[in-house]
Amino acid sequence: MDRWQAMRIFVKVAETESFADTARQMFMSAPAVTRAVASLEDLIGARLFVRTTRSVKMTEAGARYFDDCRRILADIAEAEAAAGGSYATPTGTLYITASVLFGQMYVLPIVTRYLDTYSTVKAKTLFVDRPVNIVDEGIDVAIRIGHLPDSGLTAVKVGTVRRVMCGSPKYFERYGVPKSPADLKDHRIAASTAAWASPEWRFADDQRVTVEPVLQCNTNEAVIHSAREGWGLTRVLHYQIGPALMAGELQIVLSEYEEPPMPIHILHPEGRHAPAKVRAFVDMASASLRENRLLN
Amino acid sequence: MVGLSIDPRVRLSIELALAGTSAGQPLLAKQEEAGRALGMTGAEMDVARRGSSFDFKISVAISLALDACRESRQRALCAGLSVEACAEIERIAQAIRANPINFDIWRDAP
Repeated sequence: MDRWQAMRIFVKVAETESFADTARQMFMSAPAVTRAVASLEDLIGARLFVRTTRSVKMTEAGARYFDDCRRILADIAEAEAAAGGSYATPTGTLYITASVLFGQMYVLPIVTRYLDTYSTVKAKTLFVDRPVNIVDEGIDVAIRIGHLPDSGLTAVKVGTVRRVMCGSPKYFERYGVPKSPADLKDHRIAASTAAWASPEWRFADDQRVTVEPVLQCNTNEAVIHSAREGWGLTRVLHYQIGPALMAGELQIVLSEYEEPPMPIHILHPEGRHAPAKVRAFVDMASASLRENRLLN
Repeated sequence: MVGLSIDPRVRLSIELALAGTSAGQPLLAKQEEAGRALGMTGAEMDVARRGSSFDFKISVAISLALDACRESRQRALCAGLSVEACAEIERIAQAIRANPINFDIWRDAP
């Protein structure tokens, strides 16, 4: 048996404090585990474990050797990954998902900059306003708005988003400003069915108002356009009207009745062991989105 | 001394608008910190420094603070601000103009 394999077995026995558990976890027989540790002890010239019928404890020499073995095995793993290229250098195709407008407005510029920076990578985007199962659909990175359910995915918070009522200054001058959510019944409402089809709109303190939109559109862009034109009021996520807010073409009303802002997260499945293409994108995207003053 | 009927975000937005983009670095950093504590985004503070707001009511309050005249008062009343709130906004603006270095004196006032 080679030295590297013997070290792996020794480390596993030290971690589990059991020859039998080690054998099970490494798909070996218990006598094979015992032989591997014994041959290592012969080679080193020192006992690594004190064995009793009930327990397996490391000796002082064993404890020192354990630390060295872990470091050496980690170095070997990293060297192999680096040689393979997948861990050190971004390669392959990165598959990213986000909602339609957030993807187009905020993620796509990061993706193109990423591709400019890493010429060895290709990218594919899935910008849709529906829930996407990251694992089932083979997604590398997802940008999610809203509170996350518990999952084994790694999440990095990069900003917040408000759900806002908005209209154009021209509309407010002409038709006045709603003072409370109940006043919305007296205003012309354009509603998007892209992501929120319910006529019941929720506000702070679980206040609910049923609206009767005069205009319903299947895209957010359409209702935003009608609001910019001064046709009526609409309710959207504030990032969707970022440029119009900055330009003063749209303004927010009823902000004191808004629900608390929702978080924006970057999600990916592999945690610390994510391939380089994912880590490089997450680093770039988190820095870029955190610097975005509209979202932070 | 000012009362409490004006929302702290409105107060800070007025301060930002009156200080504008020419405020020194220490004041900008202090304002940024105060805005963050109130839950304002960087972009909201940038727009306030340019004399406007994402929020219709706050933009009306800023207009009144920057130029208190019959027209801006009328606009503020139409936007739903009370007569008392309008008077307080004008007092805040005067206090800041009178003592532009120490904005905190009125913000922390009871």
